[in-house]
Amino acid sequence: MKAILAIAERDFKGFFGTPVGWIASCIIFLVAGLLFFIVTSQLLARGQAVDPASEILSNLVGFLNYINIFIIPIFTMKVITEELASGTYRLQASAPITTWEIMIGKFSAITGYFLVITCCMLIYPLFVFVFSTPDLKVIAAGWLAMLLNSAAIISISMFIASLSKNAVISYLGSVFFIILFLFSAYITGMPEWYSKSVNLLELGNEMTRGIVKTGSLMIYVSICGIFLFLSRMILESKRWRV
Amino acid sequence: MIEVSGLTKLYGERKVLHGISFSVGVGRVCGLLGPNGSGKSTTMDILSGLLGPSDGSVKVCGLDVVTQPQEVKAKVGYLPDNPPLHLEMKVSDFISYVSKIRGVPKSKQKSYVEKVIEDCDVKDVAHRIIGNLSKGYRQRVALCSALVHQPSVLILDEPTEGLDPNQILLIRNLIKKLSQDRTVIMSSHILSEVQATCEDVIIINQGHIAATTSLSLDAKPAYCLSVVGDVTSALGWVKSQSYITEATVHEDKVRFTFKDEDQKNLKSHLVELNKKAIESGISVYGLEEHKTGLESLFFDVIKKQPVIGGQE
Repeated sequence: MKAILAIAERDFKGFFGTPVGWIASCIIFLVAGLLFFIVTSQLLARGQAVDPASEILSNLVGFLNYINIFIIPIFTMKVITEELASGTYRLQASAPITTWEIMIGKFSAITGYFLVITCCMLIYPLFVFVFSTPDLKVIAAGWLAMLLNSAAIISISMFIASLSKNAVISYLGSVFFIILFLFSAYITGMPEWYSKSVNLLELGNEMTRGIVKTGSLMIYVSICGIFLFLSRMILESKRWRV
Repeated sequence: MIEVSGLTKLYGERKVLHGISFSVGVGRVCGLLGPNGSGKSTTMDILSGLLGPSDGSVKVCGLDVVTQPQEVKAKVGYLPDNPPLHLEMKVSDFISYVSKIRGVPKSKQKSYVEKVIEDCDVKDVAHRIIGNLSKGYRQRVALCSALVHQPSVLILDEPTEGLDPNQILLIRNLIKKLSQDRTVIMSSHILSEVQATCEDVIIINQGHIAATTSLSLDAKPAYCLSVVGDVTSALGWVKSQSYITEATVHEDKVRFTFKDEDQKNLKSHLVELNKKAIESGISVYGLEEHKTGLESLFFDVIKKQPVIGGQE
């Protein structure tokens, strides 16, 4: 546990110790700000909304899903691919800790970064308090959706990042695979359970309306678990490559 | 301390290590010598638990690297050839981070970090960012990270690679200091480096153990008197000197060593010997210290080693 925290802390600080974390947050907040402006303008033009907080949150979750496809691979590339290429991964691999601890540490660091981002993004739905009294539970559920969607995409991207030592391949491969994963829900002929499971956008939208199902949470946990397990297998196999 | 038996490593079809066996005793400094691509780094990666062997057994401090990798890693400090450093971190923060992932108890972290900073002489740069340091300092910081958990075995892969002569000397002295209370295995393809630092030498070539030898650091120095003309009579003359214990002929040189009791007056004996030789009519054109045979041994075994098809 101590090692997980140490790795998570180092990587988390590393995001803010280099321009990567700051530039990514600037991009996210710039686009989120513009989106918030457009959504509230529409709401004001329409003159009424059933639940303005939910509407803003569902737009933000949708936006985060799309922008995360391009932002998250930068972080996984930094903490996995770059470390494999520069040899700093050997520092962790030669320490008396398991590959699980390394992967969970790295996953926690990136998720921690997006926890900060999503917390800061709560300012938009909370802004609705100026006009009305929104349901805080809906805001909390929407925030959870933003965080869980980010975590699921982080785990998928970590899997692709662990496959290569080349930063460009890692980034483009992650973006391609995440798009493939998310949009595979719309391929005709796919089983219904599959389409429902991989459609993170739909799962997130449901939560922004304040509906938090155990099944949805389990899907998020499963996606994170499966892809973290696969990443761990890839890194572990490097030790035994023949 | 380290027992390697029948160690084999395959990368796909390519066999990098061909069933090598060796052992290193407690408190010894052992040098792994060999040309580039001979399998030194692979051997060290396996010893430190970074790579798994394809066949054979490797035991460090009695622990098996395959079945007890975590325990082995806790006992070993490893410095790879490319020092693994987080360049954006400060030296003290980095060493503290390594101490945490290497499982140093929280109560001892501060003292261990301070000790290793002191031992490796990086106190003056402890609060500087690693990326801004010179190569020599970076190497020492990497050494700190290998030592911070106070391992009983230290594995150093080409620790002086790319350093200037002054930095090489500093690292060499540091290794000697560190070897006082732990087993050290270091690899190098620089013969003088190994000769100056190690007690035992294992020469690896094309994944085979080509030779193992012991270098006694306190061996008596030998000298060579180079002569023009009759070497045999020069040999007889050298042997007749009271302070000479052993003399042999090698091409046009007479190689000799001084008696134990005369070792402390080497300079005056050498001056006297040179003067007397000329006075006795021997045509001397050189008098020099004879370098021990690691260099010749290395080239001999490398030449003798059969070339294996397709092997690096």
